[in-house]
Amino acid sequence: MESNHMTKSSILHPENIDHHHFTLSLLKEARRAEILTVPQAEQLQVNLMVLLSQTILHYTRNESSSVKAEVAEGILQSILYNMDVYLMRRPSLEEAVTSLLNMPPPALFDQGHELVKQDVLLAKQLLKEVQESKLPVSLIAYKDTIDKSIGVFLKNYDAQFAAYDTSASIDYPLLSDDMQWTGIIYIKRYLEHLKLENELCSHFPPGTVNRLLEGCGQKYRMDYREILLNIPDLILKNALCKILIGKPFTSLLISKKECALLEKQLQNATDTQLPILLKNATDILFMQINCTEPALKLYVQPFIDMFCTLLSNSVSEHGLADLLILENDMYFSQPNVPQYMAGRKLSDEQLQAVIERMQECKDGKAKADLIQSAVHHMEDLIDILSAYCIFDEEYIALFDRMSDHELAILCTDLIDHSPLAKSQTLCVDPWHSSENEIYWQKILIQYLEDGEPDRYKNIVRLAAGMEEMTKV
Amino acid sequence: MADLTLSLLSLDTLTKNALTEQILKSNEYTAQYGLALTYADAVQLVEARSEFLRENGRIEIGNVTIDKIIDAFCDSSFISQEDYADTIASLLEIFYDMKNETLDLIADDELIELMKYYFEIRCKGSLEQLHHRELEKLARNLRFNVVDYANMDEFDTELYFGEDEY
Repeated sequence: MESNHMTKSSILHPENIDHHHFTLSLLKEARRAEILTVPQAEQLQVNLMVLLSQTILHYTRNESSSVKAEVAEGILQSILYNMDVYLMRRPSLEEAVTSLLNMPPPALFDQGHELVKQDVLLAKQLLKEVQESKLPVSLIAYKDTIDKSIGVFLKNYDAQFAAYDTSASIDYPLLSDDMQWTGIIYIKRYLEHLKLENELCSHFPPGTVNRLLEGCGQKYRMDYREILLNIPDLILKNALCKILIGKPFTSLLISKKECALLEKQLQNATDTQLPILLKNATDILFMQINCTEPALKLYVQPFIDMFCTLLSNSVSEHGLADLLILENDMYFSQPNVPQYMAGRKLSDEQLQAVIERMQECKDGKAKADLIQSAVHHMEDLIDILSAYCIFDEEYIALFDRMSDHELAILCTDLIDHSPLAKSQTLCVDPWHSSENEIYWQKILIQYLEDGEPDRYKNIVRLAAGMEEMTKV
Repeated sequence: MADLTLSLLSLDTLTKNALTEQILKSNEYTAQYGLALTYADAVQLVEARSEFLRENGRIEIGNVTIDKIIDAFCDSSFISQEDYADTIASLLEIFYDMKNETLDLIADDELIELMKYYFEIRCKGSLEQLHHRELEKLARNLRFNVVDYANMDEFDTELYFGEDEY
């Protein structure tokens, strides 16, 4: 190595560093800044490959001298991940480059590996704290993630050969989540954020939170326990709106009247006033719940910024009610409208038997009769719609028997998000749908477009609300 | 990551001369069986190895496999000087293919040992039978977690039912 000390510290540009691929981007930046010479970079690469060779032999326990290329790539990724952890925790980029120049890759790997192992221990401690502060709610994704999935991940995590791997069934969505992180770094961040979210929610009475969740289920005519929703997201939206209309948030649910009042109030607010109003409301919220945790305030801020835009759009489109969870009466204001309640899902064998029987039915009416009697879950229905056992006009007989809410569920993936779509409309997404799906989706859209415009609008509005929920 | 695979492959290029030398060195040992590889044979074997590794999507650390195959097979009564280089190349090709087919469930040394045993005893020097009869069954046994996976005399359910229909 020609130069072991950084002399051109100011020429490293932090904006060129990709923290998710720290070592490689640091190498690239050091080359760009000419801190690293071409021979030094080549030597580093050779050293890295030697380390990879040794690690591969370790991986095969010296029983195999060759591995599949993807296995080798995975091991290399793992080596780089461990090195990333060490280098990104140097006090500065300059010190990180100095370490890269002065320390051989095996030493960088070992140092990083120690830190990764410490992170695993920290994550285990964090999981314990999250379990202790777990909210008394019945959300399946929330409970499973905390009680099972993360524990299983930590038990099986391979810090040496697959440190980057984040294979875990973590279904509970966070208020704010950077999914570009991988491995233990992602899990540790997830747990830190979940702990903060639990801390925030703990300031609200469990009964109030549960009523809000139930309200959410009623809004979307779904079993709220199965919805992939974020709890603080619901709490913050409703609580902040309660504060904006000067009401206490002892009950988080908002009445239809309050919603209309707020919408009217905010219509007069300018683009510069709304963020200030929301900032004040946030300050009041944190003061009233007696929360002084600076990390929590910092964590919540990106959500507040995003909510400001959502609020502004909702108010201008007279759709504030879609953004919030209102009191129950709102959702049951249309008497005699059949609502979808999920029933028992069919087993694979049962579903196959229904599909086979469908093929024997002579017309759409017979097929609709069969579906009505045998299918009680929308997921089963969607499978049947894509199974090439219903054709053309036969779909109409089935759609005719479905409620607006059931049709809206079928439309949740069909909302047109293209910039050209002036208002909420439906369209088929040919890039993410199979040929079979496109077939029935086109017929459904045509069916709705040919029907009453108000009904079309209502179904699209419901579908958009459901889609929004799944994005949380 | 594709760049890194290329880096590995370029490292492989650096070792080609060394590998050729290493292969030629094996002549000292195989001479007792009347077998020797020419410089051209050795170069061809090195090229073939790279090709087989690429075809099978594998990366090899070091150059021990050719040596191990030469060591194991040089005393075979079914290999003569005329077909020596070609047979070693074929065995190398079969070896990498079988590493994939067995999902890397078998160690290099054990695979080579079994290849030699089947080649000598069961296939009487037929590379075709070794590859497509014995080793394919070995791979299947390993994939299906058959305990006595190396036993080729084990009752073959699939074959039995197939023949019974006639």
